Amino acid sequence: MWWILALFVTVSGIYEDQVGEYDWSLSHIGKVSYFAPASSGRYIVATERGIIAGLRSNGKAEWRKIVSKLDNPVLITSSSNFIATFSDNQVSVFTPHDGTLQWTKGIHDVLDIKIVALSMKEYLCLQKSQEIEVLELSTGESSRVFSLGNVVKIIGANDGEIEVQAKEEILTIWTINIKTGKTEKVSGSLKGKQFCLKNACVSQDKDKVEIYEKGKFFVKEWKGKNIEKTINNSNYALTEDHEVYEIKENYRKIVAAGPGIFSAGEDELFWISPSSTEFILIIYSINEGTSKQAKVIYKEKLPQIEHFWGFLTQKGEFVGFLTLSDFSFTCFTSTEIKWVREEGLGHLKHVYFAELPNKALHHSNDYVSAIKQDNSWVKSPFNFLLRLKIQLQSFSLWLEGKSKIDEEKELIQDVFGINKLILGVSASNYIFALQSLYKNTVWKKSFIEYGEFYQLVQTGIEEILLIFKENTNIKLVWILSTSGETIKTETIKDFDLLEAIILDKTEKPGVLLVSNSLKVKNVTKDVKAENIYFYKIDPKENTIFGYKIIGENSHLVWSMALSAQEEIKAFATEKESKIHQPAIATGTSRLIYKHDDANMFALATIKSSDLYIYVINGVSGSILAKLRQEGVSGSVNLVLHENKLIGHYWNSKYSRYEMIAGEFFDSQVDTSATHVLASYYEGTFEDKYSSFDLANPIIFTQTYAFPGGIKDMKVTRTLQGITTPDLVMILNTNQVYTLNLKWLSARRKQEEDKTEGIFDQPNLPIYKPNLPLVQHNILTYYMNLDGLEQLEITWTLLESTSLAVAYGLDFFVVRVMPEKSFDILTREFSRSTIVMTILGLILLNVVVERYFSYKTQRNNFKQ
Amino acid sequence: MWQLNLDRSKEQIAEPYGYRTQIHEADDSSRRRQKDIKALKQQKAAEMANKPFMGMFSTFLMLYMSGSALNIIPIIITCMAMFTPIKTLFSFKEAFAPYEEEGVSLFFPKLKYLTLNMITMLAGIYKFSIMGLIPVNAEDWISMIPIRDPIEVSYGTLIS
Repeated sequence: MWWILALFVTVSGIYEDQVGEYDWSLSHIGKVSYFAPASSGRYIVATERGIIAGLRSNGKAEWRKIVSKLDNPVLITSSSNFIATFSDNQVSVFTPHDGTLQWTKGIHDVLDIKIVALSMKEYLCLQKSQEIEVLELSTGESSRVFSLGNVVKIIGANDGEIEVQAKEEILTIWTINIKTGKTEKVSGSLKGKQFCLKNACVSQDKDKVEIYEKGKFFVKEWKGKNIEKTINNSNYALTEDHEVYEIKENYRKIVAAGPGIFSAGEDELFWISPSSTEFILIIYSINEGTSKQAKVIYKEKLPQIEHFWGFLTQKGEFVGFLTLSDFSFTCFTSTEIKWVREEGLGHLKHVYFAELPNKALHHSNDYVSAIKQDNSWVKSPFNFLLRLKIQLQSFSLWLEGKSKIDEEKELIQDVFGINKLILGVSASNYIFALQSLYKNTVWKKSFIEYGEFYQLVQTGIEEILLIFKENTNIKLVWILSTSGETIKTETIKDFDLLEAIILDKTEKPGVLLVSNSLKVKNVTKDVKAENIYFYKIDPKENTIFGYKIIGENSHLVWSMALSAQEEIKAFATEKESKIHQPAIATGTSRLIYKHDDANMFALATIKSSDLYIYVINGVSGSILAKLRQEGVSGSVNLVLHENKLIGHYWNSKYSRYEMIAGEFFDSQVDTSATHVLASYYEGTFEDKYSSFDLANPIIFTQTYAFPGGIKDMKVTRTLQGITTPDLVMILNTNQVYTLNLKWLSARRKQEEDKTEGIFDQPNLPIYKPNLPLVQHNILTYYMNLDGLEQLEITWTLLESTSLAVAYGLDFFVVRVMPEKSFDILTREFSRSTIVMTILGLILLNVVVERYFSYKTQRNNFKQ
Repeated sequence: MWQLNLDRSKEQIAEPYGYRTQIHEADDSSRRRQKDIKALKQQKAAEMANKPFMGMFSTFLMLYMSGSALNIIPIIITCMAMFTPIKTLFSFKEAFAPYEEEGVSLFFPKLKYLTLNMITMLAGIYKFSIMGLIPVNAEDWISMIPIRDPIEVSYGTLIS
């Protein structure tokens, strides 16, 4: 009886209704390039991602608008009443307090825009190549168009007239009178480098300057060095030796500062000089001629400052804003950093998952490694003993009081393996590490000095290898996953990287680098690389080349030329989802076999509105399938999972989005148990296969109409691959949607089809041409996310659960449970009841055993 | 003098009160009674052989009514339907032991008893097979099929 006690293992559970609590998102605006304070402590910003936003004083975005399309360049100007933008041939005007669109108008060829206030009325001036168009800002009605020839810049308003800098060798200013429609051109006399400021312009020729102010030109001797640039939205010019001059009729030197960055307020000038982890702030009061200095400590190594804006609040307190080279937007006062928006995360190009170390049940510990390696019945007792050993270790930790580990601080994996490190590579050349459970940025690090990022791979429990391309050199950087600290670096010279091959995504994967000259370098020398093939799809040559790696060289094995008109649209391979169950129990007593080919890849091309999908074996180059669909245009998405192919495209013939589903099977079908058993006991089942010996598969295809466009799609991955996967998609509406793969089977039978095929599977739904869009399958539910472009999915230690990350502008992390939470306890589950029941049964067992033993003895005595 | 003549065949004197019946008369009666007991045992053995028959219909009805869905109730009912005949099969020697006697033929009752129990058990097995719990199909042995690993492995890239 006591062996029952050995079955006890500690388990943990989460509740069904807690699942929704574990998705989280980050909302971004992108790298800030325009800043203007607005009323009520709000700030208006515009970013390089084509977004305008209203920020509160705590840095939270109150509203944001994608002006036309993500990443489209935006021209912006603002006043206290309106924000005007130009993007994608549209002029739009918004209100600053809530971002409501006031009006929008299609206007072409606008080079710059500026709001000009004239006699209590605001006008929007549009600078075009040869003319200036002036619109009434509040209504958008066109007032006038003025043909002025080539112009450089709209300066502003002066004495009821709009001033425009003409493109001339000599400083020339156009003045426009809106009321009369009269234009006038005034020119100076000095040739030289021209700068136009807020209310004045200056032209410098060595030691002479000509200043334009209020309709008049003044030629003056210049005592300073060459003017290098102007300080935004001010009348201050900066010389090459960092002196600041106020440009007006009688110009004057304000300050001689060192190298740093200036920003101008109403009557103040702000200067900051950064050092490694801090910066000096000096506030110059122009009228009073005084200055105040402060030191602001940055929390870490200060990235390069790209933009600086400063101003004094109504209370006279300084508030500064920085756009840094990591794309973060930082608000600071004269004493401290107030808040930081990590906008580098709004420019993510790639996302990778890394496993965190786990003190009790890390995936790399003996048990999980053992079940991954061999979880057969024969091995299960040994695996069970290993599990017991780990449980005892956990128990001893618990006895020592060490079980309550702060996972967030200590960066360790949780028992369900959901806490992973999400490594995001930003366009800012920074890598951000976030914890999937805790929504926090663990570390960020610049790798700009190593070159262009190419690949990231986890090479150890806490070790990550980063691969960078730097011209013809390769830089390998090993870092500590938990801190981002560099462990070691290695440079491979004269190696023009073509491809980095990650041999096996185990805990110690091998990494092979292949150069354009087909040389091979094994980065992980302890990993053997045998029977390795690789292929490259070259869109320039419209050819696929297949190579075999032999030693340090690779040799061409096969090539496949696509026709010249074919445009490559999508490519899919699925190395990570190896077949976990090679056969399918159809429910009809027949056993059908998936076409087990881990070397399959799919390629979609479009040739004169015909979509071609090739399924090719990457080793032998043999074409397993070639599917064709007429009337296709736009982008194509492809997914390959086990023996399934799914493609999504726009069918221009029927004006609808469609999905094509393909399934590949071996011709062998087993109907008899004896055959399976005989094969098993006689050992005739093969545990290895060669791509050169594989027979062509039997292919099923089916087409479905899908109710929306998608940006990216991936199939969920689970630990053992037992759970039927879901297809996770980012819809064009920036919603993340899941659809179970059973709906995308190519073997769904039509209702009227009563014939019985040998590959039939009765538990598949009846064929309907339209795929469902079920509202409760939208994982982003009512969240208003924008700019989700790509998707990455990984497994957790819960078989039911995958972890998905959608990224682009916003960042969304969610758990996906394709077959619901079959391994998650419900809220009603009472641990105490089950423990009491088991203990009661054990007690009952003991009592009954004793009682009958006593009774037997008594009976025997009587006899 | 007195004499005791044990040959009383010639005497016509009434036997004393309580004097036992003549031996040869007693032998006849015992033989008859033994014959009755044998017949009784044969009858009882036949009754025992019919015993499974009596429970069969209720068992069949329960099996039919419980449906073939894979849940706890049909499984329990089917297990009971299977377990009762198995239990009786193991104890059928004891069941017929009281009727063992020279001259009492238990072959047919035992055969009947076994057959009827087998029928009930077969009904249970049939029910299990309907429920898909008997691994007779190829797909029941799906776990025997090994996952194959490729000898050659390929990796690829789309050059951007």
